[in-house]
Amino acid sequence: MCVVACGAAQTDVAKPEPSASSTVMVTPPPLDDAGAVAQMDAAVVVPPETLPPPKPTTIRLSSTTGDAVDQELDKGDAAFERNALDEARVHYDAARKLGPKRAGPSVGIARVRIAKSTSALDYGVAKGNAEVNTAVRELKTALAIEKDYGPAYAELGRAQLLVGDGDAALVTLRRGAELLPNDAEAQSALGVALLATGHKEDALQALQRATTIDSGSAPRHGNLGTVFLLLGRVSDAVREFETQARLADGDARAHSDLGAALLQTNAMPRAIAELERAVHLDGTRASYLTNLGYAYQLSGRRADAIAKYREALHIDDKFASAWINLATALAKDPKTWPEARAALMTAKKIDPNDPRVKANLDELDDLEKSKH
Amino acid sequence: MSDWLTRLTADEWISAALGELRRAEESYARSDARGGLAGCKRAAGMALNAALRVEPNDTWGRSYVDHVVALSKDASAPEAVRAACTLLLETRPPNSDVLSLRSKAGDAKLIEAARDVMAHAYWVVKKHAS
Repeated sequence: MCVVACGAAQTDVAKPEPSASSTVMVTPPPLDDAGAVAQMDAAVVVPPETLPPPKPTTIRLSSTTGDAVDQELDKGDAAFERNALDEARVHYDAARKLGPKRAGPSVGIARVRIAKSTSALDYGVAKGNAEVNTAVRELKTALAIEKDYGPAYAELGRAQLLVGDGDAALVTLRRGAELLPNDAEAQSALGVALLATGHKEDALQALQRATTIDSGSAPRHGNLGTVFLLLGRVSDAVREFETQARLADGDARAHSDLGAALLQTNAMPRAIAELERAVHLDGTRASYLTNLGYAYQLSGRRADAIAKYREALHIDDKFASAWINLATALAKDPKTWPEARAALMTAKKIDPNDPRVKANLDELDDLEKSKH
Repeated sequence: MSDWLTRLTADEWISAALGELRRAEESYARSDARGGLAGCKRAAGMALNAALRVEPNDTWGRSYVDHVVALSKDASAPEAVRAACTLLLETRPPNSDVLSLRSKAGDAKLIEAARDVMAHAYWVVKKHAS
């Protein structure tokens, strides 16, 4: 931005912006919106593709020999996958006794050390965390034993990211991904590191590789969908969320993710179906109810929308987005303008800096003036 | 953990941030630079609420801008993320009494900065989910 002339000092940055309120993914329509969206898109039929079961998220430490060391490593990996960290440590220790010249046991022990020390970690604390630093040393020792041992690179990279060494983490994780080209978790670790360090496009490629390798994992499709949304690629996000919802049909969030993304593409009937499914699976989330209300509102089902907003506010009366959306629905009828104004004033109290409140109050003012 | 923070899950905060970012893009598209900038800051701050949901940190303050300020000074955060926070914080909204020459590229940089912060927040969330 190029400022031609400098005027008064700016003030907005220092102004407190309470985050006490929240907002859903969707934007309330303007008050003068006619309401009904005649979008009757045909439902996209997802082919009945059979996807493989999800792979473990723990990078396998054993080699292909299947010897006693490998057997202990496999047991350790299985325990780690179940989050049975102490049990995993027992097996990794046993593996180290059996194979002191192997890198795998040290990587397993370091992995457990990190998992235990970071399970309740406050932001940034890992930097000075002795356990994580010890794990980093162990992992480097493992690489001294086996310099091309992929799992050691993957775990070391994660640890380096935890202690705030982003540049080193990327180099390490790239090497890990090279050495483990068919391991979804190694690709994913690289992807999230790239994401964390501002390399979003590269992150996307790595996460796509991870999803291709582990195509039966609902969370991987969901993560990829979210990253697509981060990059503004809504259609791609919808595709990933569709797969996530198909793989995790009983997961309310999966259907809410899909429904909210579909709303952005104006695919109303499908969005409503997915959001209704989310609410059916979990009717306790105000955000799901508000999104469903919004979808009804966009489809011209004003009474249904108002009912859903009220349900959301019954669950959480400080949910600013529900108040704002309720106001936009109420403002369609002059008889309920006072109630609409009251809803907006409530939203304003919750989040005085939400720009939607002021915009809608201005529009309501205009509507009332035009009536008189 | 604060009531305002626990109102939404970490994933819901990310979703909320994505919605706010979309509104920011819409603001820029209709040449509302003030609304766009405010939306970018709010989107970044909402995403950081997701990070706070899984990694509580009282030093990050309460407001969205407080969070962005705190991350901009966090030496353990990646350089690109700190730079993104700084860009969001140092960019001034247009005044009513001055003429600003804005460019789409400049607006896009701010959107990208918000995305960088949001991506970092998402990583924090995913780190705990894995």
